[in-house]
Amino acid sequence: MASSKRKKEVKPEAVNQYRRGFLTRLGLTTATAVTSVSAHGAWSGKTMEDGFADFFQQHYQRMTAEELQETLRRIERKAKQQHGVRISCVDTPPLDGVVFGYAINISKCKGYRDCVEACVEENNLAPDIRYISVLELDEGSMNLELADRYYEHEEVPVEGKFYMPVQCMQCDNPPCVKACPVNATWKESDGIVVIDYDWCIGCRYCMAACPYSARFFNWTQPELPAERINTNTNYLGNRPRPAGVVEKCHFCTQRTRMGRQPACQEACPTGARIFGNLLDPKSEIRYVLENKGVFRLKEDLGTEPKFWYFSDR
Amino acid sequence: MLRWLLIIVTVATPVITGAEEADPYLAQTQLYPEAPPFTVAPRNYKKKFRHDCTRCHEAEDADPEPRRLKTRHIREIDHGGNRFWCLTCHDGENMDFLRTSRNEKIKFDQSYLICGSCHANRQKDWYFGAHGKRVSDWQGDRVILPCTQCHNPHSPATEARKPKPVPPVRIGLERQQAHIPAITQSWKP
Repeated sequence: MASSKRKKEVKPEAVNQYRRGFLTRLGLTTATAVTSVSAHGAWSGKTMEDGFADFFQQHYQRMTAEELQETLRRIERKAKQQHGVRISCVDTPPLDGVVFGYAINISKCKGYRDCVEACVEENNLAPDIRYISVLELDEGSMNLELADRYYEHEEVPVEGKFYMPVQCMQCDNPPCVKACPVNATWKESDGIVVIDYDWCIGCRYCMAACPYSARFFNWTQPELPAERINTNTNYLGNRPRPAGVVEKCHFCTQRTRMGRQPACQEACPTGARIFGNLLDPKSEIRYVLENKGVFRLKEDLGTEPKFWYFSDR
Repeated sequence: MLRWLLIIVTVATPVITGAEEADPYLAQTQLYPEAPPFTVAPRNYKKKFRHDCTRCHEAEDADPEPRRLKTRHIREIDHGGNRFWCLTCHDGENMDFLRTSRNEKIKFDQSYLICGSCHANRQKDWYFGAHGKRVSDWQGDRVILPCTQCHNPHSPATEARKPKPVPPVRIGLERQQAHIPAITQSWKP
């Protein structure tokens, strides 16, 4: 009894008064914080609507057509605000009856790296990322551990060496797709392995899984000079990517799904690159696979790459 | 009477008109009829190419004696190991044309009909797309480059050139100097 009397009894009205005051102060503070913060760019300078919509954006495969169109417009607005460039971002679904394949003639690759540069320009790559790496190996060797991708010579090809470009192999049994914990990457019906950059969480499991070192991570916000941005972009391809996501070669989906050649094929001056539809029996890629001595890298891993190499000898 | 007239006309017409020029499309399809159809892009000459050989060579045929030429012509032919000279491919009688090994007249844009008479495997690859470059889209009409677009016929070997700049090494990585222990050294003759 003595203990209960010593307890201070607070009257209900005072409690309400206290609670009301607390909530009012809380509400005012939050409102001020949100307004000032959004004015100062907490949503990276986007409107709050765009910020929320970005946060709640659905996975590409689960978006309705309407949501996808809204997302594309939002991406265009973001690019205008972040890079100062008006881009066009479209959706390029896969074509029916098409599975893409690529072959490189290593007798004709001279190591010029024209393909590497064309890819950088076409796909809005960050300055330190290259989807294509041209490896220089000694003739007579296939030891990829001794390959040099940072060769610097006055003239190529160098006597006694041969050159092999590697990029994402668009495997038919892709280990990266199996490794992704959130399904941000998957293989589409035309065989291309694509990434939903807005769903990727940046864990880099896919990079660990890829045997060809074909995936690259954006450690920082990519710095793209406005005058060099390619403004014809698509959602699953070459639109400007945010920081913290993985990206890779996607066979230029913005071009190939419109019937055009990928940028690397167009840029190669020796015609070493052959791209086409594996399902068309009269295509050039099919002739190469059926008549030339083709091989793939790391065949023993069972990844089934859709990227072959062959030579004229 | 009419039958005889018809026979005479049919026989005489090719002789009179002197039609020796090979029909390009016929030659194209006869070689590899199963090859996917294509158009050859006209050759893009880097240097100003004079097509007016007949300015000097109209009056008389070129001298068929193999020799080193002096004026306005290429002196060295780095092709064929000294086994042939200019008139092997150029038609001495009508210098605006080339000639195949069967002495057919072909245009400068149809060089692929000559190249294949020695480089048959490469020509077959070119017809089917395993050699050469397709400059049109992967879908639709197929347009490919002629042989002479990439290979100068007087010195066809591809010349070495400077590569594009070395790719950057990413933050935190170092350029690896390949450590080559003797046991993994690649095979050398």
